[in-house]
Amino acid sequence: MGISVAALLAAGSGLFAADPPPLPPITTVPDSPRLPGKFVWADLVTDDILTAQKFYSAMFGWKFYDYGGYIIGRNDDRPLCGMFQRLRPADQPEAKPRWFGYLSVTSVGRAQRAVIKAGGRVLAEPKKMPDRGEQAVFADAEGAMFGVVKSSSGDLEDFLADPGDWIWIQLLSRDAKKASEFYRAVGGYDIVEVTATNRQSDYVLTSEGYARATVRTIRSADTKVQPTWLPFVRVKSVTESVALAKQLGGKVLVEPRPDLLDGKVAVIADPTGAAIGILEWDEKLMKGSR
Amino acid sequence: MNTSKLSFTLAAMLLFVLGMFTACESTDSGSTQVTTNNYYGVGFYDPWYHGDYHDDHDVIVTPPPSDGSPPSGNPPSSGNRPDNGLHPAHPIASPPQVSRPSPRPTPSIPSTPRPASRPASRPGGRR
Repeated sequence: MGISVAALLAAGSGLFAADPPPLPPITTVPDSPRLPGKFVWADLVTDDILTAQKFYSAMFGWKFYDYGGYIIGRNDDRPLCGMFQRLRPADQPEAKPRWFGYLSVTSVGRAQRAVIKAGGRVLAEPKKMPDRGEQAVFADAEGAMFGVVKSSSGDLEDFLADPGDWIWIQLLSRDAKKASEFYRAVGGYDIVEVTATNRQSDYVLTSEGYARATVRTIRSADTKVQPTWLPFVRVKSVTESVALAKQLGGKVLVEPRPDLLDGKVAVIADPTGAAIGILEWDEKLMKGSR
Repeated sequence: MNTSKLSFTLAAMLLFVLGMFTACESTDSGSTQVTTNNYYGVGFYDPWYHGDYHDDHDVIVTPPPSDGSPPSGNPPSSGNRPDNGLHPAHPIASPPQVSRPSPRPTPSIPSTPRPASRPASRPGGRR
């Protein structure tokens, strides 16, 4: 009898631990609209989640909460990202941790059909989650990973991000025009060609009258650069953030330079190897930016 | 119930209680204890990036102009905004003057709004 009770209780304990708590909603602001095409979330996949948390906590002041192994990061109490840990494949030494974004959609099923029709792949089937909504993870036709979410609580409205918030996201592509068309089919974007720059074949994805993301063409010489999404966090000072990143064991992939937005932008890698951009918002500088 | 059975039952109950807390242990310091690996239903294969990053300006973002005018090229056709132009780029942004979710050290309960003041005005907001 004692053994039976113990076994039952132990089994109950195991069941409880295996059932993660519900994720927080995308927004708790009542009557939030749904903003299709807006990037509303980002995930980090890494092989060392504790190191990653320590780094992002010190870099951006994010705080972290464990939802059964899926770690939610908050900036100033607002949930803005998730992190999960995987074993890095031993037979793929080039495999690196990465960030990827989730765009808001009105129908995950419709997005999935559009992905498949446009040559993409389903990496994680659509799943409904209490409080969160429905989401799925895909690879576009070039293999860049991204997610879609139909938030059950609506999306955060469009306003200037605070330091520590996501402020921009960019897709690196081998064929930016084709990639833009892919995301138009999936996310319903309008596409604006950026002819004001000295770069050809750069595009801005827009929705609801807002710019959502840049799609840039990887130069043909950069054979090792693969199509991928790269999100950017707003910081108060890029110079100071770069110094801090180095101090915390991160790497600087693109140093701030005077010819790049007057040194207001850089790309760093956290100590686990995931790349992330940092951007110092300067209203005057961004006017007519390259 | 003899002593050994009682001890065993108590031990099992202790195990159960410990199990209740293993999935939601967290701190504010960024040093969360990872006790399980229950990513919420996503078990997708190969989420890794298999490329390199180069110190090259091509990987740098090009935000659009922030003066409300669209970049040259075709203007966006969507939107019923009064000025119908491209706004500054804040794809993942926070709203001003709204209730904020409260920090939840025990994340088993959904966030609830709480009154909190935000800066009175912010550049680049919806116009």
